Amino acid sequence: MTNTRHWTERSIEDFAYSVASDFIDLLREEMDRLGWSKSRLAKAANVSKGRITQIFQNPGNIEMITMAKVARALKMKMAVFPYKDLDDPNNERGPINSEVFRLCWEKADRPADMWAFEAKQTAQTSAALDAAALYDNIAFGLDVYLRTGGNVPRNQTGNRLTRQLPIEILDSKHTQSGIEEVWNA
Amino acid sequence: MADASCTITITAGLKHARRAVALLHHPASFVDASTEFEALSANGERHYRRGFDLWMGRARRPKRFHGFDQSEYKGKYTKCFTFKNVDAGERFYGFLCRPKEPSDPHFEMCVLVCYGKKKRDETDPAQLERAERMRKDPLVLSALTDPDLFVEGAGKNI
Repeated sequence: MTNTRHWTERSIEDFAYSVASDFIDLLREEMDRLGWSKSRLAKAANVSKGRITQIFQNPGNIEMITMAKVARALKMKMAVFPYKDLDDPNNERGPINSEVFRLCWEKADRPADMWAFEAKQTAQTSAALDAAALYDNIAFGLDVYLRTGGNVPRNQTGNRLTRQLPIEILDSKHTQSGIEEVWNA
Repeated sequence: MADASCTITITAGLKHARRAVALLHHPASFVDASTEFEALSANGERHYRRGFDLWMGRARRPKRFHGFDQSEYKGKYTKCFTFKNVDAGERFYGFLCRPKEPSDPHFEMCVLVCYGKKKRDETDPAQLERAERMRKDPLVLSALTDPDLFVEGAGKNI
């Protein structure tokens, strides 16, 4: 019977295979990039060629030490961590592809630790706030321009009105005289 | 109602929002994807299931699966698709379709038609031709409109 249960829910071996298979796929990608054969990987990682063939055909039984050996032989690092998929607590969709995690890390400019992560977050938040403020000022200026037909009111020293007024004030006094009235108040 | 001699069973992604993979059961003798899939070893089946997941998740893994563009075979098989196990020297061939049109025109499904085993990592055009033939087969087209196609519990036990 066709059902919605994901295949990695059938057994823990299925789940382990799926995760380890992602690991092997990413190794294979790097081997292709470097033009490495399985024999070359075996030699560089100090693992028998038979063992390399085995883990490529059945990734589910790879040990952590072998994972580390082959990853480091290719000058790669690796991460192993459990996570809560709050959108899929019953595993109906299967494990998240590890490439998604890697891409997110790369997109965040590869933070090396929490200091770097938080610094980048702060910079991003500050840039977002600056952009929002800039947008508000542009919108305000455009609004004033449109409402006054280009005769932008000036303050007492002759400078053009640049201060941001609450929108509700502009909405209630949407004439040039209204804006000047508010400004002079 | 679809012809009972031709059924399409969704084997991955029944509730997926974008993609699914199905196996074809058809009277044509060369349609063997379903029987061969059921005969796979535990690890062989896992390999393909992980490939289905990756394809449904829009990953790019040409060593596991790929389509055929206009530059190949004079653009004759652009709707054909293959899932591979390079280490085992085997692959499944099928075709892509959009069974939820017109309500969901973006939903895509790969219907696996036949199985091939060989040493060289090359596509067999004869297998592509079979997949392409099934893509246009009237029984298959009818089965794709079966209202039970996406109903949980419908279809064969696989």
